[in-house]
Amino acid sequence: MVQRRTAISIAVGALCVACAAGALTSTPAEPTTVEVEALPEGEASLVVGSVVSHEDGKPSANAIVVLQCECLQGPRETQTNADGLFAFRDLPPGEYTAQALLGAGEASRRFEVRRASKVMVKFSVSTEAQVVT
Amino acid sequence: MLASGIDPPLPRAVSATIAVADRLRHAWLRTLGAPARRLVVDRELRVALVLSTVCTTALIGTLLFPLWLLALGPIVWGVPHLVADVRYMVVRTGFSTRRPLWIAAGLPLLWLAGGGPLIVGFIGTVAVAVLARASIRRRVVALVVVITVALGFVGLAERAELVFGHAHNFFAIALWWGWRRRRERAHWVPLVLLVAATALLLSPLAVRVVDLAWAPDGVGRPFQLARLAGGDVSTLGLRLVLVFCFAQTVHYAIWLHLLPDEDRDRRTVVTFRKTVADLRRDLGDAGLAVAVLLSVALVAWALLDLADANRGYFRVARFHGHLELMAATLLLLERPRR
Repeated sequence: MVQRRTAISIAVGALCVACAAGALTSTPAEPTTVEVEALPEGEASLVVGSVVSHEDGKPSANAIVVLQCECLQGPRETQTNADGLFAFRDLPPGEYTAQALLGAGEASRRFEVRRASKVMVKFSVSTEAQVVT
Repeated sequence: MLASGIDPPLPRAVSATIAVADRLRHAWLRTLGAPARRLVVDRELRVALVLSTVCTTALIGTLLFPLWLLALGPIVWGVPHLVADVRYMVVRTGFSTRRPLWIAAGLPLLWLAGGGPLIVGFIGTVAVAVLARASIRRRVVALVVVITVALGFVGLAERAELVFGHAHNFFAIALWWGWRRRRERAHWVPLVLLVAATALLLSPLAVRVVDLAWAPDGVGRPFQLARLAGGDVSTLGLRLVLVFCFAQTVHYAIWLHLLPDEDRDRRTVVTFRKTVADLRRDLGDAGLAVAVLLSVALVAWALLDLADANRGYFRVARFHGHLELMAATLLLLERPRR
């Protein structure tokens, strides 16, 4: 015999597992790659990169990119140019989070910026509508 | 075969904590004196005051730190509000005992949960409307309304999820409004506050005063604009983010505090001990344990990666908007005619 309440708990648990499984199987992977290159000693660190559409792999102009770090006095924001490229210069060392917004899609990535380094971030953003509720 | 049993007593530490909480609240109410006494016994006044306070604080929070409220709200209140959904829409309504509904509602919800399209939720709502214990006339009217709304959402195409998400917050307000017959007019006060706050947040004034730069890592403006405004970076997109922040906060308060108060037969405030006993009766110890574990797990996840935890929560919670829609359809159809 199974308690009614236990049966309901199992059913709700199954729903949550189905949601999570659906997320794992249906949401396409959006690889955001990060590469780091050392610069000559004394040069200011920078973060550069691109935003491409996950659907067709093409660079996306006017995508918004926001850079956050406790080492900055507030977030910095820029937009990609016609070739889908962006750049943030003269950055202090620290732990950064970069977010890219393209259409109804967004992606974010954390990385470390060290002294005299160039970090290259490539966002691949799916513009599919996201779940809101 | 289903059966009910007698729950074992709570662990001593838990019982002791609940007893302390009840003593503290009792002492607090005695300190407040006569005004508190009136609130304890007068549910209409109490609910109106609580919802008015919620509207005011939600508005202040939205104007001061919206991106933090949007990011932390689901982490703190998300799972408890899902549990409240299931408790008040499935368990206490008795719908869980009707096996045809397990198929009519359960299968579409599972499909949705696995990533199915929005239309599946409406198909489920049509199915439960057909099975409702109501006159044919009432069911036909319901079917026409649901199908019309469903076609409207189909017409919205890629905007459908966005509109549904925004509408779902206000749906809880409609549910609260219709939960029981009102004898007095106190409930109009929070409704007016709600409309006024929403109008303010949709106006150009709110966008000018709000600081949308202050945000937790990874769940800042881009995250919320993508999720709540379809990526619209104009002031309209920002206003939609603010309205959602406000409405989501009110939505959680309704599910976690107001509907439980409205649903009780007793009009007076109950002790924490009674609240826990009622939770155990409705959800069972296993269900309650699962709820607590999920809540704690989500908070732990958020401490590691707030952005990922947010995304994870919204995937897991995807089914609940349609669950509310289906249950509300049944409640409306099966309520006695006046």
